[in-house]
Amino acid sequence: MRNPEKILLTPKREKRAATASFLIVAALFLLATAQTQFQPFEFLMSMENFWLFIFEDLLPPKIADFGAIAEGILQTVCMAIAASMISAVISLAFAFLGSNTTAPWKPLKKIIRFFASLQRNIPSMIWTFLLIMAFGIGTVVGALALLITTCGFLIRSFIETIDEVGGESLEALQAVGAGRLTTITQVIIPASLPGFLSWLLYSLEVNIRSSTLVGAVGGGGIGLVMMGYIKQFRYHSAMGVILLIAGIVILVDMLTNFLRKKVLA
Amino acid sequence: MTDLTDALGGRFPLPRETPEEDSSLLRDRKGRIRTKDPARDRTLKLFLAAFLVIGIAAMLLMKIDWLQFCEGLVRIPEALGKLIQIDFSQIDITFSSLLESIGVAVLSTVYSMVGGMILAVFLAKNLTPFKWVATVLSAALTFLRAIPSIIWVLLVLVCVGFGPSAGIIGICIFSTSFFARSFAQCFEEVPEETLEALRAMGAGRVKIFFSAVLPSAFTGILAWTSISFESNFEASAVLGTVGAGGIGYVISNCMTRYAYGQAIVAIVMVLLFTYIMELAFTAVKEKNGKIK
Amino acid sequence: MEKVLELSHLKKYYGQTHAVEDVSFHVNAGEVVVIIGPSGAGKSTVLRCINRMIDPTDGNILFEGQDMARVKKEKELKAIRRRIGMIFQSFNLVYRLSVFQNVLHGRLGYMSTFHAVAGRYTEEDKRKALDILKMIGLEEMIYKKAGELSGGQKQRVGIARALMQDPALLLCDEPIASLDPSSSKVIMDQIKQMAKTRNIACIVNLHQVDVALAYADRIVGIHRGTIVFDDVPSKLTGAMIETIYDAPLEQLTVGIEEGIAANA
Repeated sequence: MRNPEKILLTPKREKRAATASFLIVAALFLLATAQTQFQPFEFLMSMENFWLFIFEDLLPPKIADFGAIAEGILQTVCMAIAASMISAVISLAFAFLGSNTTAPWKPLKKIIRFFASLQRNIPSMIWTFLLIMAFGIGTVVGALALLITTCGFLIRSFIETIDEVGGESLEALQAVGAGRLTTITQVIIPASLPGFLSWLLYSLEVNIRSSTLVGAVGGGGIGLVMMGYIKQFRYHSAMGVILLIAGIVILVDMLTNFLRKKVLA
Repeated sequence: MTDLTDALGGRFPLPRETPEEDSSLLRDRKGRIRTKDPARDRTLKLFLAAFLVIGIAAMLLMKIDWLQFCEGLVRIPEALGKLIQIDFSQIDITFSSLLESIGVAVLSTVYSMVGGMILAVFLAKNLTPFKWVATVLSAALTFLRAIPSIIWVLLVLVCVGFGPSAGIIGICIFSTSFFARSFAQCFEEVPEETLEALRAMGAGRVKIFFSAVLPSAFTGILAWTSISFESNFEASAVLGTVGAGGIGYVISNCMTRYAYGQAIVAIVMVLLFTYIMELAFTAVKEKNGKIK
Repeated sequence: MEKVLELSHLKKYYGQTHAVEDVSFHVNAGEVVVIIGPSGAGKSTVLRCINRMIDPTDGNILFEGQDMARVKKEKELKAIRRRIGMIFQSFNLVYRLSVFQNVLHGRLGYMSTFHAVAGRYTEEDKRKALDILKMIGLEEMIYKKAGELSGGQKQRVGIARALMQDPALLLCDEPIASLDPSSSKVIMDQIKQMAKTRNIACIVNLHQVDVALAYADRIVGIHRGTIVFDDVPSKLTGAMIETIYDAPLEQLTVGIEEGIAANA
């Protein structure tokens, strides 16, 4: 007599996919552990050092040079806001040229998508390095690096938004006999405005974080100030700046969340 | 009443529409009928205007040296010329540092996923055993998340010294907090009715979590994991630029040595890897979407 | 009666799959023609070929004496499309815009590009939209966002938009498939009424045979891309329905038998 087949709770294919992905992750984990020689227990053993560092070297935080720090924060925040705004405007134009539903010319669509992917797949800190070659250290570089990555990110997100809203209501206006430009202003822009704004707010959150990092490698602003303290082993002052950065990030997140609820409701 | 209107109508030309029709209609300053109620979009318009004003103010406040900017623009071709002299002489070191960066990203993602999952159970409002734990945890994690992972790496670097460990631990601090928040969100999206039904059947917390919550949150968990892995790789690729190891170190080292041809090889490697990852995750997402 | 649309030997092939295989029928002004058939039979493709949202592979589409299938220029196509109203299963409104704006969209085909892009409608068009909205019972809702309405109300906005075009022909693609029974009745009543009072030729795709029997002046049954029935509802027998749907009558909805009983 044949054994009764085991009754499966999930489809066979799904189960196989789950097992396969688990095995892949496990293999990657082992390979990575072998490669980096990382021993988590070693770190846990040396936790004492860690606490010592936190309570002796980092705390209490100190705000050393009030003027320089205030100026740095202003530059960083301005950098993030300006980068978000300018890239939103640039990305909007390119998104219409790059979306499936509105692109006037197919090859142009491909080119735009290619450049957007190039822009966002190189991290902003590496863009900073490249830009320093031409522009030298300073806020210009930081702002440009943010602008480049944000554009790459926003173009893709805006294209996705347009593609999502397109479809059905677009069909209706085609049936009415409206032209391409009319469908853009009458259907696509109003329908995708909430999506655009939501991505814009998200890019602002991201930029507030990365503008400090871009600054640390030569983009100016508060990041450069912090990096200076760390290089001089002035950890109390560095901690003061880090806490300020955290404060700003939390503040901006709260603000964008509030705006999302208020504006996009 | 009607007599009066008739009498007036004879002398004064009355508007074409009847009064009751007018009351529900909005008109603009020139008396044209409005096609939309301006009050309904007021917050949106206000926000757009405010953002524009603040953005322009930010541009003006930013200390941009326009001379430096213009000189830089002129120097772009020169810089490109330097970059284009591709130099593969350091390819073996570059490749092994790329592997190290990938390793750091994998390990930090796996460890923080486990950590984040555990924390998420205490953080999710519908699962947590004590409400106050969720509140305290949420505040602490918000703080951890507010500091970019690179800064965490910088701090950890000081106490554990140079090497991949600093990168893994530093990224883990940020990423665990990120996972905890997003997983908790996924768990909270599981409908209360489902949990209620299981509770009514007498299932315990642990059983409910593994049989109902985890499976329904699976798609969300997958999406967050892919997002987190991408950002963790980005962090591990650049943490070398602030003094830790990995491919970022090769890039910054080449840059300071003016070995631009070697730097561009490393940069293209990073680009290729992130691009392939993006393609892979998009493919998985699309396939998953089809099943759903 | 005046013939508004005449399809002859319409074909649409997607590579090897024949979505529409030799479809010919005509519609007169003020007549409601209902196309029935199982899903995937090609009902939707036929409808979209008529206003060239889909380009047919072969055949003639004679609309008001002009062959739609032969129109090449984008501009001419748009000029003809504005005489053909279309109503969709999923309403296809812009939910962020007001009901008023959505209805006015029906005029876009008649406006100059400049005015259309800016969304500057004439007072005359606005008056007309108000009249239609009043007739259709939505005058209270004009400034509401289309997304705030119920399903039945959304479809009424869809009808109003189509009527704004002053159409000679109305194409309705499964207009009640996403609606509950009571809203469905309102929508079908209004479509029928518009066809009669405004003398509009009407083609309605449906998959509910009972509704088709109740509202159609003529029923066209499509099976696998070809017409198997084209006559008045009273001639539609149970056997014919089985041929169209490729299934025994008892497996089809209960409503069909009730419809036939009511018809007999």
